[in-house]
Amino acid sequence: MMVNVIVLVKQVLQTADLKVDRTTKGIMTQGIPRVISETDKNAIEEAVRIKEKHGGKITAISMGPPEAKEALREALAMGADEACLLTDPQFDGSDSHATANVLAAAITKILDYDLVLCGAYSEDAFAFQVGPRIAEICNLPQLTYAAKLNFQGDKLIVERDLEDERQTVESKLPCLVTVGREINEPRLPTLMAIMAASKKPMKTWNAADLSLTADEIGFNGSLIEVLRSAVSVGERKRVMLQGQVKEIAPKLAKELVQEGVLKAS
Amino acid sequence: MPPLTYLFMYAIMSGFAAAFVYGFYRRLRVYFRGSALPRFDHIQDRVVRAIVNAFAQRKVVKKTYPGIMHLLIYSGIIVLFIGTTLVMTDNDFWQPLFHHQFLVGNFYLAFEFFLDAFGLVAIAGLIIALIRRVVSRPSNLPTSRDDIFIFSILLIILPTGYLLEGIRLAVDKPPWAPWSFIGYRVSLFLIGQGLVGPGIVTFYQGLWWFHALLAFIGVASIPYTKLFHLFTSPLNALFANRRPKGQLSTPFDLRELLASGSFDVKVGASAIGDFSWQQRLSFDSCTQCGRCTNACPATAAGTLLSPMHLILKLRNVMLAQSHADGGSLVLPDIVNPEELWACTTCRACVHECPVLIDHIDSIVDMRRHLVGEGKLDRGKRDLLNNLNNVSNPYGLPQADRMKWAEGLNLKTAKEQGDFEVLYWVGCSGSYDPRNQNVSRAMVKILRAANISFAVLGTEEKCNCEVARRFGEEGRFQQSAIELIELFKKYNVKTVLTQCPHCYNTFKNEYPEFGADFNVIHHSQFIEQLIKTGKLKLKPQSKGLVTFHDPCYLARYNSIIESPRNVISSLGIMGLREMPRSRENSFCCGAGGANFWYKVEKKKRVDAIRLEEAQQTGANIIATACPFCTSMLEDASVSAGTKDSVTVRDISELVADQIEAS
Repeated sequence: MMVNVIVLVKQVLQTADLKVDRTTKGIMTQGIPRVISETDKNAIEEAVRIKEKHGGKITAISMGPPEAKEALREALAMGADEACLLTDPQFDGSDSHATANVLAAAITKILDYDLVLCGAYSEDAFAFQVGPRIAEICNLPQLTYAAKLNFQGDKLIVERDLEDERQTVESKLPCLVTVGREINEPRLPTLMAIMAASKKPMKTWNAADLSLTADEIGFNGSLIEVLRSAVSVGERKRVMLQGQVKEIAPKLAKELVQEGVLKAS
Repeated sequence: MPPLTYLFMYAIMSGFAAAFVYGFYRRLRVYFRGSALPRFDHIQDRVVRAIVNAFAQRKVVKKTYPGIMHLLIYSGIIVLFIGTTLVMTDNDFWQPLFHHQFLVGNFYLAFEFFLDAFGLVAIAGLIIALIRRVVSRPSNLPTSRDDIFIFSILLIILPTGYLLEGIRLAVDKPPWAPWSFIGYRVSLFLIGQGLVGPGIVTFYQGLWWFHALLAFIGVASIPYTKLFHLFTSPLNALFANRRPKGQLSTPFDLRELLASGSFDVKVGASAIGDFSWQQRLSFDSCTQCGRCTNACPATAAGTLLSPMHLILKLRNVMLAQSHADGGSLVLPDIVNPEELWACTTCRACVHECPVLIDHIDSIVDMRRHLVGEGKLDRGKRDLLNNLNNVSNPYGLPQADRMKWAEGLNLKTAKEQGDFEVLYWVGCSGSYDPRNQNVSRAMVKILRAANISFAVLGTEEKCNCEVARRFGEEGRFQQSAIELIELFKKYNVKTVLTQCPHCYNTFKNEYPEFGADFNVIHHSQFIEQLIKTGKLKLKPQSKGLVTFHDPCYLARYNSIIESPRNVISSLGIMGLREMPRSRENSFCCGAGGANFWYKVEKKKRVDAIRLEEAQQTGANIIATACPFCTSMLEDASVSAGTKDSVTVRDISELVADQIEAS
């Protein structure tokens, strides 16, 4: 059984390198490298493993600025067969709802797929929204937080990692699955592989190509309006306990209880 | 001997000769399957190298006991082989053809004397070898079926040769008999014991056949046993790569690929067929002497890697699959990737190997395959991601590259325009707090000596030495191309660096990609400054110093005296050498990208080296490499000896003693 997979890829700023401007309290984005969001890498890796096992075609889709081509090229280097960049100045300012509209339009246009894979969340927004919203728009069964995928006949068995429990669910195809970081260790393409991937087909679609109207996308299509962004600065208490372990351990426990970190028994 | 003996003998001999030729052919066929022909460039240099290493045994004799042992067996057998061949030629070809003999007169007397003497030489060597294998049993010296066979056959052939000679002399009683001084004594013994009777001729004939057959078997066995190293080691010395020590192989040229737009090249080795024919020949050259493994820091640390066993595994797969199509996968089942990741590329193995096997060459080829597959654990992915994203292995922002120099008012190449020396700080000197101190010491030295210099500032980025040794060739080459471009833009003539890894890659690897600048290591640079009086130091007794030679400085680039000269000019109490020093230095454990990921080991390499340094009684461990400094200082902290022994870069020691002008 061949499985054609659409995998959704988001390019994000490398969050570890983000810095806050002390005066404006804004995030400094200058010179911060752009990378594929971690769980999306897991989604690509899972797509490639499915292809290695069952065969089929992988299409990677990303919505973003023209630079997001880099992310798609990396997805191609990891093993995707085709890529599709959804870019249009009109897409600027899209929240997860508007983003889901754009991606769903592209998925609908591609038509030929058995499975849509994406990361459970993106590393910059951590909203956990886009996957489920697309599933609703495309009327697909959704299986979120996947930690393991298995095909049985024409059914997909998914183990969901829900922190304090693990749930096994099944669905018929086509369906949409969001994956977490535990599902696999994504492969890392070499520079040569990324260069070689520039030979693979890459399409670019704008709002018109996707027949999207202005009220579905960008700021107009968004349900969320960002009023203000601020940086929360956690001040450390800088309490130092000194002395023999036997003496300071009860003191430390007492402090922690006072702070509400531990419960007194 | 009866009249037709020689005819029979040659008939039988030709059978053995055929077996020899077939065995030889069988092994050559394995090397040459589906790959390019031998290299004949620089043939004179190659021949000289083969003579020095194979015939003159340059590296074999570096280890005294096994060196002498091997030299005795080697010279004894060669002289006897040549001697016997001369007798055969003289008696059976020269004489019948030209009715004339050349083994006559004084020449013959000397000939007899030498042959008898070298028989003793070979026996002495074999006895030493036997004692070594049975009594002293050094580590990593496996005794195989081959070894038992070789001992047995030689220890029968040699004494029976003397016995045959003794009988001949006892029967013929020629006047020159005493020249064959062993055979003569045997003949006297036989006569004295009354053993020279009528039956002696029959006994002689039987023994003669026995001796001859064993000799034939011995020669025919060469291509079937480890004796084949007689051929493989000179051949390997002849055809081994001629690259500078510090230059890894270049599987493709990124500039050509970019120009052609085709990136369809196979990089790396996962099967025997992926190695070059010369690499396969080198696997077959291994004589299992164990020197590489005994010198290997990864082996000493108890990792899975043993360079000798790695080569032997490759050889066994290669020979077992001689009839297959050359595929013979070795990764990941025969060779465990963890063996490959444990290699620090310190080059101790290659330095030791008497037959010029380049273990690192093959290890890096297999790493390239693993990297190409992309299935790496998180630590290794982080290294490559960091190089990709922020151009340094630490993963710290490029914008922070000059933080170490805050308040120093350094000029960048862009600002300075014209400068003598480009001071290449390197990633460790820029980001690692311990080594930022070394960079500041360097600035102090440069300013005290009034050198016109500039730094690249935030334009500096990793030269990707680490990427190349890790196996990410494309990343390395891209970095090389970009940096060379940048150096050209600023008209850089001399690059100064405190990092032996940066030094090595700039010096030995960048020229292939168009680099045209001088590279100088800070140990050489400071040595010159002191020598020419540009830098004045106030001597000050600091105590006892031991110098830890960085592999990429001493073993790779023969920079051995410069750091010692710098230390000597400090007015210290004394310089104590560790047992393993100079080109025989023992790695700190960081090389070959090992600084950046975890390898399962029983004991840390840096801890082993720290102990060795402490045994010298020194209270300062001086070094000249940022990674050695970090590793040894970490080891010292872990061992709780930070108060009794300090780890300092030579530039720090120098900066402490600069005379204020």
